[in-house]
Amino acid sequence: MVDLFKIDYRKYFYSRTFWIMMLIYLILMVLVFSGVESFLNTALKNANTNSPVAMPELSLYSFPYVWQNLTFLGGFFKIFLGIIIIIYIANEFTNKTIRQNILNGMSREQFILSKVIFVFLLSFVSMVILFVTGGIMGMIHTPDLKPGMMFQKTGFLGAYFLELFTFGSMSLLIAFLIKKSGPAIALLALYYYIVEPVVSRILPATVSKYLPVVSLGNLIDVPNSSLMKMFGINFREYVSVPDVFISLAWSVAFIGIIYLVLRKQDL
Amino acid sequence: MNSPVLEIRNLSKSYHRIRALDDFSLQVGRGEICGILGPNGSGKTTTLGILLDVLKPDRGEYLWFGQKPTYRTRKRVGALLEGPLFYSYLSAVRNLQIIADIKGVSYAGIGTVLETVGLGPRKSDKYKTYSLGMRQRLAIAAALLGNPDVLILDEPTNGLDPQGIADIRNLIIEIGSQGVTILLASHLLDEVQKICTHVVVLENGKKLSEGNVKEVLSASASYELAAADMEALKDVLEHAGYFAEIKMENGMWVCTLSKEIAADALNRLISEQGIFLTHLSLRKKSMEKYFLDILNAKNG
Repeated sequence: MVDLFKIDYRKYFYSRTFWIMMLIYLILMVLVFSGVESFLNTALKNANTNSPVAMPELSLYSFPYVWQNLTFLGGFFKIFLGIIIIIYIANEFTNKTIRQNILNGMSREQFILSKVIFVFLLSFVSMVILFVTGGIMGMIHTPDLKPGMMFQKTGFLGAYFLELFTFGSMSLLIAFLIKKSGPAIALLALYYYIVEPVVSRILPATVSKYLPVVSLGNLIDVPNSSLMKMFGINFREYVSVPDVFISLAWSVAFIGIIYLVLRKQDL
Repeated sequence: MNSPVLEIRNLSKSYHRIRALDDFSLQVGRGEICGILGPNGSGKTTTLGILLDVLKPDRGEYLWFGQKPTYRTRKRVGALLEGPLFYSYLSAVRNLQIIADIKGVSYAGIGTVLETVGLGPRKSDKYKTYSLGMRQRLAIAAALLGNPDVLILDEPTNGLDPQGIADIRNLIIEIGSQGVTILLASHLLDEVQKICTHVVVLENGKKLSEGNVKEVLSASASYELAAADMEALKDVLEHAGYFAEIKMENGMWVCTLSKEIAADALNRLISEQGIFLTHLSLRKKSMEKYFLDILNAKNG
């Protein structure tokens, strides 16, 4: 495992493009995290001037609500991770370096495992950045901060990690199947933004909740705000165990399909 | 033959409707330098690809070192398959570090193999800045990394300049002399003749012939002979019983041997008939002749 990580680390660590893409992803995410509250409140203030009912100000960053708010928001950025994964895995096929890896003595299983480790680590890094950002924002914005408050409802961080990992596994599968980064990214975007939203609307909700993108979205429900409560809308404030299992099952399935495809394939 | 390093049994492989490899079997002994000779598209790279597990055969099997192949047996094989394949944004050294990690060998050998192929001065430059010849050299360096027991070289002199070709051929001969078993695929007949101890001829995925290079080249070698009286000489030669064919070429009789005879014995035999040679030379068969004869024999 450590050896496989070392091999892949050498592939990415010295690639400037990799770092630029990761930095764009992480910086964009942190900027949105730290700017979203004032953005929403400005919008609300404008709305208040025309509204008969006074809308309360939102506070997104106080513990423990910060975790659900930020993980929900962070989910929108996962497409960036998918793109990075596709670019680097498709490269192994277009430059035929996967061939070089295998003929030098890597097994196909080890090659797949090295990429799963890659996806795992990208998801983990994203989660850590979110944890740090959320932690700092929480400490600044939580009125009467008590010790331990920071760690309430951190289950959302786990759900966030799983959401990224499963989505990353899906991107990995597409990269292994399509082998060219352009078409693979197009397919990922097409499926994520168009195919599944359409299909999930046609299917009954009892069935569509098992679709990969829908089930990923279900992991972290839309955060409740005082605004929504005002309108009587109430979303789930916890991570539901069945959703976790559906997502886990998908990531196992995606990686399993990669294994079945690559096992017998000419490279 | 000593215990075979490689044993190939009845490999077949098709791409859609094209038969790339058809019931191919081969044994390669320890220390042999085995040339796989064939025109483009004859199945050379397909064979080597299967032996390295990047291609999957439809039928048949192969054993490395007498064992079923796994990724572990591949770590003992250094290979260059169908040109150089590297990470373009990494330097030669960093590319070889990845390979060393995969093979589980130390980085200590990286400097040595880069010096061996003459890439020492450029070793820290990115791969994408390399010329075709330098890329090929790096691929050879990668194959040499970790002192493998077996080298697989697919068209190793592709893209090299004449000096580079000579260097690499000498390098292969030197490595072969150290007891490393080498499998060399080439469409360059002269390359196989110069480097290999054994040869296999492939065409359309089928094995046409195989043998020891010295034997195949000395078998049906020919003598060039001339004397003052050419007709009398021809008479003697025709009755000597050593020649399959006698023909005139540039004023000399070119006699293809059907049976081995040494030059001194032949000279004595002719002089005993009262004819004294003005010219005698043994013309060894070239790999080219051997190759063309095999193809002609099959097609004719």
